[in-house]
Amino acid sequence: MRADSSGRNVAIFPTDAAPWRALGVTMAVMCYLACLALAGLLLAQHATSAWISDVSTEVTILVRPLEGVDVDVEVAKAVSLAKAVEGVTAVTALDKSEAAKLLEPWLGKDVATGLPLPRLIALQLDSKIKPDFSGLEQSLSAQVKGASLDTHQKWQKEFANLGRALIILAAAVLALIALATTALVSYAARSVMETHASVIEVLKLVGAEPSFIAKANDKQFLTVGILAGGCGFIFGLLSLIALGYFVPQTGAQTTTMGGALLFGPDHVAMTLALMLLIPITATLLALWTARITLLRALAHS
Amino acid sequence: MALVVQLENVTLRYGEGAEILKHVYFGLAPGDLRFLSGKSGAGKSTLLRLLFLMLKPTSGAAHVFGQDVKNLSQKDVALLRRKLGVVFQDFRLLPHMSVFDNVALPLRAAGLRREAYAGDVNDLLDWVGLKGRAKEVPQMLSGGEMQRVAIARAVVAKPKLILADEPTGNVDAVMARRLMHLFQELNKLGATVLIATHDEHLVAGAKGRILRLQDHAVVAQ
Repeated sequence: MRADSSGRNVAIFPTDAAPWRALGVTMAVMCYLACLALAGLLLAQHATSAWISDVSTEVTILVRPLEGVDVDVEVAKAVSLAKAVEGVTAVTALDKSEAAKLLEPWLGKDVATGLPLPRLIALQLDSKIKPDFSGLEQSLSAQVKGASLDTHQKWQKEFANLGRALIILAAAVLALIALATTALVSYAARSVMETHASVIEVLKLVGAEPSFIAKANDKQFLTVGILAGGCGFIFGLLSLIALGYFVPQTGAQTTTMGGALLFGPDHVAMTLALMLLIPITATLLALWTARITLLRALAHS
Repeated sequence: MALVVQLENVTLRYGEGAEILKHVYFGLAPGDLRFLSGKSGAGKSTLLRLLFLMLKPTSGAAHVFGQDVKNLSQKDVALLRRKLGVVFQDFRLLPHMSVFDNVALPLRAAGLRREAYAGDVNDLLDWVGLKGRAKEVPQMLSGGEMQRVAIARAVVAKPKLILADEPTGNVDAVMARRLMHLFQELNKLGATVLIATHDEHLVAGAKGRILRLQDHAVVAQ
């Protein structure tokens, strides 16, 4: 039996006995979950900003029907006032039948058409110029009977809160995964140390410093980190692509490859770059945690 | 001349147990060749472990190369051990490494690159008669060969003090004489050598002063 016929340094610690395979599989699963959590975070961020963007470019004037008031005349006055406001690009008044159609799913056709429904006027806004809503509100209350302005601010706030909550949740999941991975690597490093206590003793006896002993495992933890991180990343990406094909496509933004269905083509590069950070972070985390754990354990041995 | 090793009234016990060493006084000057003699259990291995910084005295003062062994940091211990070479009774070779890598371990631990030490290691393996076995793992060697690998590892970094614990305990009489000759050669090259053995014949046949341990105390030098 011969060893080291290559003329290169062999590993200080044997690579077969330590729990490398178990660590690799578990770290790969952690990286996979981290990829999914990151995707969830990006999806929540993208979706909420899209929702907020949608509702913030439109406001609605509501004209309630009042006794003895011709609602069509009031709607025309409101349309006229709205068109005069700087920053309003389009004004569309829904007629009675269109308003009734909106309620048909809940009330049924006969009931919806028979009710004195309020009339809606949709105002499209210029994204660069903020209209004077308070001035419009004052004009409407002074000149249009039964009119009120809904700027959708309540919805915007709720969407923003929902988005923030989802982002915090996803970030917390990522943090927990990082914590669990750290604990896992720390346990593995201690296991390596216990398994190879005799090797460590010999190293100490030949004058090896603790830093040398701790670094002797770097290559193993680096390899495990890269392989596990890479596997987690690839399976995470495949899962997102697969998920993209099962998610209903809505709009031009989501008609590219499967992964882009979740994020839109503009976000693919950024998503991939952020996801690539996961195997890199996992590898660095494994290296750093293992070295710190071993140094601490050696200091107390 | 400063002593390499100096023990003054050293007592050592494990925990609350009995004293393994009692009031030991002795010193080693540079270039000394000494035998540490005594029956099994007399405390020879414990004394060597103390000198190799694996143990600390319970009381008394122990200095190795002028440094008090009681007040050494981990880094100090590592650096001081590089001046020491130790041969263990059970060899303590790493089974997953070749003979070459086992011998080179102290140099590798000191941060030297393989290219820098490969020549010296091969020369040393040649000197101990193991050049042809450099790529083999220790399990393929006989007891005497493993002992020579352990000796080569102990001396490869050119230590100033060599400590050997029963270095001839696992070899036949011919090999024992060859190993003793090896230690004497190393001593001639300038190393201070302390060899623990209970083999009185070996001690009688070799040149070197005897440090005799009896009942856990040094009774004769």
